[in-house]
Amino acid sequence: MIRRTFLKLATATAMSALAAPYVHAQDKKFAGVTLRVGGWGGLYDETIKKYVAAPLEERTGLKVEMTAGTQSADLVKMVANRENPPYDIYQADSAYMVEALKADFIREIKESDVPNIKRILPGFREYDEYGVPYSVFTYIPVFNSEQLEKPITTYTDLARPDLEGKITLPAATFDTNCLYLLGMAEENGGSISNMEPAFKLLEKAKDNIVALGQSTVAMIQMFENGEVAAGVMSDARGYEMRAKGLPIVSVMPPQGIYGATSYMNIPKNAKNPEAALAFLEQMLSDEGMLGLPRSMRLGVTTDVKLPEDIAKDMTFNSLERLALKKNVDWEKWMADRSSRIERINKILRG
Amino acid sequence: MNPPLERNRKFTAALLLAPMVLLLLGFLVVPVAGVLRSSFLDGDYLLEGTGFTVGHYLRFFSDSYYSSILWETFVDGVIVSLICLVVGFPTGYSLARLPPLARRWRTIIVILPLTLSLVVIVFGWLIILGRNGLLNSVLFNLGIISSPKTLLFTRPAVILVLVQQFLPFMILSVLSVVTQIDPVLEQAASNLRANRLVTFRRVIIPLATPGILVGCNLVFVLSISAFITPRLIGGNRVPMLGSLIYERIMSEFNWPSGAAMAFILFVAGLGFTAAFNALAASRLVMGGRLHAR
Repeated sequence: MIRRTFLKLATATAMSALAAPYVHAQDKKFAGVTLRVGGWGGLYDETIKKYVAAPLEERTGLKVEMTAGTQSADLVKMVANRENPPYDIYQADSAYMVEALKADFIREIKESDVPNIKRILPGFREYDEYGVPYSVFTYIPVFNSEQLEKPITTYTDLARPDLEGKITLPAATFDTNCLYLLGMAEENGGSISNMEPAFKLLEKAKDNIVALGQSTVAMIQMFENGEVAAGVMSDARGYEMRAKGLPIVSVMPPQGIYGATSYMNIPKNAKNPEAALAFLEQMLSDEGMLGLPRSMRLGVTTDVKLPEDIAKDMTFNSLERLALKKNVDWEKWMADRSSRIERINKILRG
Repeated sequence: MNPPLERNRKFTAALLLAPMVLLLLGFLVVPVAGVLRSSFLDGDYLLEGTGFTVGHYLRFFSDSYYSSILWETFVDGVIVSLICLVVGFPTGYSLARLPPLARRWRTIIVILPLTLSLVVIVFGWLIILGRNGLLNSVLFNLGIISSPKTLLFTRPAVILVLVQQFLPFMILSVLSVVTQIDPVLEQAASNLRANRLVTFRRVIIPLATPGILVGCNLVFVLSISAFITPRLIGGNRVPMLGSLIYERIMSEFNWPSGAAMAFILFVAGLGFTAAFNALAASRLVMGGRLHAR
């Protein structure tokens, strides 16, 4: 009798132990689901995996697969595969949001879908209910303080004759990075509708430009190798170079700075829309939102409280600093992109 | 040959060629036809254009900016081909004259760079040619330069990297033909009192011409369609048509205009290589007749 009871108990215990992970997994809402996210590679993706994907997987069982790419190449993929999009989440900055809306493959995301949307600061949802803004960055002049005798203080300074053969600018095809041109225009009486002052200045700066950077990584290498002493970089990359020990100074031009917001979108025909919404909710949570500031000192878009030690290195570390960020008419900026790219190429060639 | 045998031979030939013809039809002819069709679409965004226009072509040829880039792309292609020929021919020839075992190992060394990713190669060159790079250090230590020079982001740098990338194609083309030339022919020329230069000019070169032509064609076509090297090594200061097409399609999303530029490059490249081959063949035939007299 005792032996029989023992055998029954032992069998029950063994069955429970074997079935436990399975039962536990079944409790998790997204167990067995894989969310495909179009990433931007490197530390950026690693950060999102660490602060958004990992906690979400822990809680819900959702697996996240991030594929490194560029927003332009991803846009082409999304347009070419509208019915069966390659990603459940497509990332775009303010400029590419115009293209994504034009291509009409992303869906609206309401507060009822992602409750943390209510925490987004005013002015960051630039496209009504399309796209969830999660990070803000800017492109500002930077320089190596050991290599330049006279500091740079404005976008216009990049055309100074003493900078001959010393600067790098982003390639013309990077729409957001090229906002330095808008800075040059507005500092010299121009505007987004009148970019001539910027092009005249670029003509003057032609001999200063060693190369146009095809990526921010390539531009960092130019600074590290001593190819250039100044340029226009994102605030995050400026911080990255300082963290590596380079004496890089990021400039805040007094007339204002130009930045853009990064958005996450859900395609209309996404395979896992529910999981994508959960991902966005986690992205906007305190835990998710503080990831990119921690690793890259990128700005936040919600009311999350920034730790002091991180905030001191960030460009947008207060509402006052955010007020320095100038508004950009992205539709106009993107409508002029072909002519702008051609003009830059022609100026630099001529 | 009797008719059934002849029919059988033709059938076998068709059967052997069929896979390649189908492959080319599906993956070359059809896509090229698609590119051609896109280039005539009246629009400037992705493939949303409709109708028919020759506007993209007119714009290309009416703007000296584009035609000058086309010209420079071809000049760069010719320069790269010539340098590869000058460097690659002696290498290919010497490899061909080695015993088979030694040749095999050295051929593997020649092929080795082709197994590396182009991006890795380009980043390697960025390190070598940088202001703090290997080349500047060597030149500085030898006292040739007094301060580091900007070697990157220049046309010579782009040409140098293209030569390094495509040299194996030239060496392999020359090698494959020279191995077929019987060394006895060189000995015969020598017996007839031809010195080494005359032997090289009148025996080796004419017999190796098919390999030289193939090598030149390959290097030229690869060079004019290069887009990663001009972008990364040239830093947008050395525009080539390949990188302009990439920019037009992948960054501006102006597929019709990009397709027109791609088709112009395709036709111009095809025309140039066809003319070059025809000229080289006629010279060869003419040379052969002269020698025969």
